[in-house]
Amino acid sequence: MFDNNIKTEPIPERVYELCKIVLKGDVDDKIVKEKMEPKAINPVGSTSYYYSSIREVCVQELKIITKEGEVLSFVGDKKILKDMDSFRQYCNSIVFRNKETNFYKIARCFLGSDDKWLKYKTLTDLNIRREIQEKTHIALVTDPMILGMRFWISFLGFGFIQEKGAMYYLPNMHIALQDFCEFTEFERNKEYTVSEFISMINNSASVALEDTKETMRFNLAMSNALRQMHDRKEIVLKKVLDSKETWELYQDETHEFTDKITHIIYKGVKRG
Amino acid sequence: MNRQIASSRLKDVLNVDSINSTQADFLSTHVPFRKITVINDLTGTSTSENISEEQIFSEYFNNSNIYNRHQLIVVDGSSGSGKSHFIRWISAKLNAQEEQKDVVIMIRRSDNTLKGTIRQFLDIEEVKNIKNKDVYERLVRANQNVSEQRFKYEIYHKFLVEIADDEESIFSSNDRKNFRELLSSSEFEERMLMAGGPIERIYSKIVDSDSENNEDTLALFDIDDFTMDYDFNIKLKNNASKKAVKMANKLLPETDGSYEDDECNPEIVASYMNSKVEQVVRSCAGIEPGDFQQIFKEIRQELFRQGKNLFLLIEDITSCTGINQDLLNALIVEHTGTNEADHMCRLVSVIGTTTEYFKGFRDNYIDRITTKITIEDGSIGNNVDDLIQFVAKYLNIMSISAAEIDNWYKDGALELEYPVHVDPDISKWESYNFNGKSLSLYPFTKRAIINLYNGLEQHKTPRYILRKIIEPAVDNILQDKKYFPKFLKSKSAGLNFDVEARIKSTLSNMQINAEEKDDYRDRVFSVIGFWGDGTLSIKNNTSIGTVGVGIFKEFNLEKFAEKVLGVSIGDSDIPDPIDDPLISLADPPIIDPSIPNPPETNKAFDDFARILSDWHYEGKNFTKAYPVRDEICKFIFASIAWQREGVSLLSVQMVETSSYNLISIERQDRAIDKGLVLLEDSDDTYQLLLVFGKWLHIGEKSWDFSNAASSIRFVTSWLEKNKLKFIDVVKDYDEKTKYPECVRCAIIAEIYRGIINGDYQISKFSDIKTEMLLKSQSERIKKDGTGHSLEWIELQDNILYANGKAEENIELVQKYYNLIQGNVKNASRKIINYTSLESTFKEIKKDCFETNIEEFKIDKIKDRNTSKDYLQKIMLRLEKVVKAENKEGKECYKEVLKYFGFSEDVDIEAEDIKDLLNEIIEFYKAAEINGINIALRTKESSNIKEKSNSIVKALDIFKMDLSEKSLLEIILLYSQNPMKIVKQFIKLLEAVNEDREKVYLEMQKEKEALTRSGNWSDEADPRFESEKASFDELLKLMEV
Repeated sequence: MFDNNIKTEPIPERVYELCKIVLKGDVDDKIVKEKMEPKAINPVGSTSYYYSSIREVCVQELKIITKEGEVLSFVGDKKILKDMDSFRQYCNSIVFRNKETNFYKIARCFLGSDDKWLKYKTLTDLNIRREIQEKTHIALVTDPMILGMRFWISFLGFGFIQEKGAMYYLPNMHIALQDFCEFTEFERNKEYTVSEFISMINNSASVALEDTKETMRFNLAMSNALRQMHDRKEIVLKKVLDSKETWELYQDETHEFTDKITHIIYKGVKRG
Repeated sequence: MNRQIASSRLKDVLNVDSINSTQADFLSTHVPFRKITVINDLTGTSTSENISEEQIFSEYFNNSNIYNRHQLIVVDGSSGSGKSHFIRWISAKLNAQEEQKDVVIMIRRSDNTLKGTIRQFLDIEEVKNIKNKDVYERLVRANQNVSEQRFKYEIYHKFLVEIADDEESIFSSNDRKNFRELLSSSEFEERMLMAGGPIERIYSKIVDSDSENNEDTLALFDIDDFTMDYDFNIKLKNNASKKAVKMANKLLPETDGSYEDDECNPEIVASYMNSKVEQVVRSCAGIEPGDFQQIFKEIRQELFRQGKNLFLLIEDITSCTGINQDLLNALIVEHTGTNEADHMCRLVSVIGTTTEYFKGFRDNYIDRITTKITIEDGSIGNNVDDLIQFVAKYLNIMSISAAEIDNWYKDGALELEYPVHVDPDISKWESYNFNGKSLSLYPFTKRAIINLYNGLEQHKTPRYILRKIIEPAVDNILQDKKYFPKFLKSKSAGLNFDVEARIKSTLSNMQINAEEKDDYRDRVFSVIGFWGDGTLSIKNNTSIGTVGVGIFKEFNLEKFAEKVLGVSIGDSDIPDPIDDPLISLADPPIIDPSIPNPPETNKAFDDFARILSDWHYEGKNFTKAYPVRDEICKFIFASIAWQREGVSLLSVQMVETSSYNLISIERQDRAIDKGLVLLEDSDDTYQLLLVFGKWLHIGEKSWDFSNAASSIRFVTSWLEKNKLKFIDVVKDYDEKTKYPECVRCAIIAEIYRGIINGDYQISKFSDIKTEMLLKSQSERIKKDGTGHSLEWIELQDNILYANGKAEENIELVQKYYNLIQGNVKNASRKIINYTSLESTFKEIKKDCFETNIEEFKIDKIKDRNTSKDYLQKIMLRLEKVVKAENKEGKECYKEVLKYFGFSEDVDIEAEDIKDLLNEIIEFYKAAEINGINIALRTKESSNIKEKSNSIVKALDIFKMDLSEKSLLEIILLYSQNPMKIVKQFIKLLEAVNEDREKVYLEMQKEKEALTRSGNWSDEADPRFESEKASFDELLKLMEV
């Protein structure tokens, strides 16, 4: 998923569920499989790869479960599975470490799409897939790759997937940005220049900032997140006129900060 | 602005109709009319020309060539168009002439009663020696001591007299009589005399009235005065004569607005009554027809005698009820020709009239009217410079003392000496350049004046500019400057939705008292919308949407400006006002007021936005709310990651397909109770509705519309902020229970189903496991209930498995815990959220699968009731089933005991059963050997013998004391159908018994037959007597 092929089956909730089962104690793989995908209530005869692809994410990618022979063991920090939020924060802390993965590259395209993809009725639109192929140099971006990505984009807090008939990605990475802020040691009530802010948060949030560093423009997902954090008084955006550097938010005539910002005062993440 | 002077002079300066308004104030605020149409010779081919007011004055009023010519000039125009102002200007100009050889009389609108008019004539200095003056003055004083109420009655009854005498009525004789009856009824009289009614209107035209009603209202009857309503007619029916009622019914409109009699309807009645008004007014004033003409003639004769001529200016003839006919008749009388012998002075009369009223007398006087001057509607606003000059002069003059203005007037009212107020406190403000003099526009700007003028809904006339713009604004500054421009509070600033949203967004991040927040917002809206160009564009950090920072500071809105600009505003930062590029004489047409901002070009959206604006800003109902509300519901369902929030997609589906809407909107016009979450009227809701208005109408259910990015920002942050409200109603459980009641019921019902159907090979409660909920359908098919009580079987057949209920119920559980990828709510692949299912199961098990069905409440979400109904039906029968099953068990036990012949305290053991069955087997074997003709039950007996242990177990259950056991424990005991084997055993025993009887009977029969045949005696079979004898002999020998 994150390192290997992007699939639709290992949705975050299933991955989390498998981890929760194993968390209770070492358990035989077959038992977990039967619990999660009971034979009796699933279609007869079809060989399901659902379970194995879910387990693969836990074992090979998130590396919080080991499989010794047929026995699964939980080897991560139990706090990771306290609730979905802590699980998301854990995922956000590790899934973007490797910038060469398809997951990273496609996630970057999602975040960089601004409002361009809104004109397409579905995320699997050929134009979107082509755009991703061109940007990422992935040879073939298939429907399942996009469909699989959407669950994690939504889960990791990069925006909403509006899915009913049509399928839209609504960019706003407020939740993810909150996570990234918490990963970074910002000093409360300290005023940072935007450059300082970015360089500090870049370690974890690079997937959203790679283009920004060059253009000094924030994408829509990040702009919306910054504005929302400002509105929630988690940060204070500032536009100091004689500032050396000016950064641009995605143009929004309906917000107090329509475009330019220069400084950010960090106040602290407020959950809920 | 000199607040002290302005406070005292505001009313006087602005009161354009007041007699007290001085000529000085008048001339100091006058702005020339530019477009005046003049028509001479109304009878022939009309030729019109546009000329200036100065040209008109010099051509018609100050022209020596026509000095001696009789003139009747009509000045017409719509209400408030400036005709009065024009006539006053003529008057002021005539009075300001150095050589005053003519008499100028101005009949003001505010003093135009019949008697007021006559008195104005009699007050002319030149006519104080007029003959009969004392008679006329007595006339004017008549009725002065009569009470108002009594005078009104008198007026009303004069109408009755007029009608009674009217032989030339347009009505039929019957209608006239009936109408008189109606007028005579006390109910109708009360209606006519009520405050604001027609009689009061007419009364005020007869007596000297202090009324400040200066509008162009007529002292006439309206159609409405005679339009009856159902309630009134009912009231009339109970009290008035039949004739009156008959007439009232004729005046009652049908549902389609028509009347039963085309020749007698309210319009005709009103017109008829109006034809009597003048006679009545005159009669009430005690003036006979011709009196006025006589007075006027004598005045003119007196002036002629003195060698003077007369200019008579009537500001508004429409309000001269009672004498307009007489007045007009007097005005057409020329001093030359046949009248020369009367020795009257020359008369130049100017009468102001509305265009509408002019139509009424035009035809009768057309050949007597020498000139018609038309002041065009809104003429002042057609020229931006005039409009601003007009406002600037009024603002200037109200800050200058009356004495200073009078001095200027007395010195010839020269423009060069025009007094200018310089405000020491507000040095930097936009001003109007009047002949090189700078008139401050404070508190307006040029753009504000234009926008406010454009915002006038109707009557864009000088009078309305004064009333609706200057007066409230100045009053606001004087009384409550801190909240300026509060006077525009209820007026839409027509801002673009994006601008509104940004202002709200900015304000939400400012420290403003909660109670002041709305006012502050409205003031910013007004300033941006009217003072500015409707945008928040920043220029040089000194203006926002063309509104200079100084203006924000002056209006106590600098915090907002600072927030937008990102800098603080110091005194030194306030720049000199710059000429707004909008204001240009070369560009006279003013932007259409209805669209001050770039319009959305989608009509459906515009209509929706209007409804929405009325809803949010004016508290109206939200009509046609459904399409957008539905789109919001769909959006919420489609966008929340429900499973991540701990909500099963089945719960979502249940709510989504229910007859309830996820949201309702405050004051939506119907079915508000059909919503699960009420969105209150707030800025957020307003913004949300706007976004989805765009989504629906412009994007046609997509985000493909301009500025969608802003909408996305709003809806995503809105959804994040509000999602818990929706999650709560959809998930249907609290933090304590962690699962909905419908799932609890379904799980309990499934466990009962499995037990009753005998699916579980368990005997203990503790053996009930989570996995039992994950059985396939084939493992759950209905089993044969033979052996159970009838009640048990009926429960199984008619409830548990009725209409696929068993399947439906377990599907609810399995679907609820299915972790679905995407939106496929009926996915066949099931990946179970096992930990959650297990934890729920444990909780329910801890409660011993019990639930209080009496506490069930009907859920408004119908699908949530299905499993509750199912469980309820099971539970309601369970006790009866258990009783019946237990009773039958006990009966079986007794039955079995009977066969063994044991007493109840003796336990039947497996060995006992086996022994009995062995005997039975032996019995059948013997029967077989002896060739007795019965069905052999040897095999059946052997089979049952093998189940002896089961029978014993079953019998143990039957004899068990169940008083301490729960229903679940009891049905668990009976689950494996213990009665089935016992009943088989009993059945066998019964059959064996029958067989035994049968064998016995057969033996008896044979014995009897032998006995009868003599072959049987002494209990021995005689057939073997010889063999017995041989045997006995042999035995004897052996004993030896």
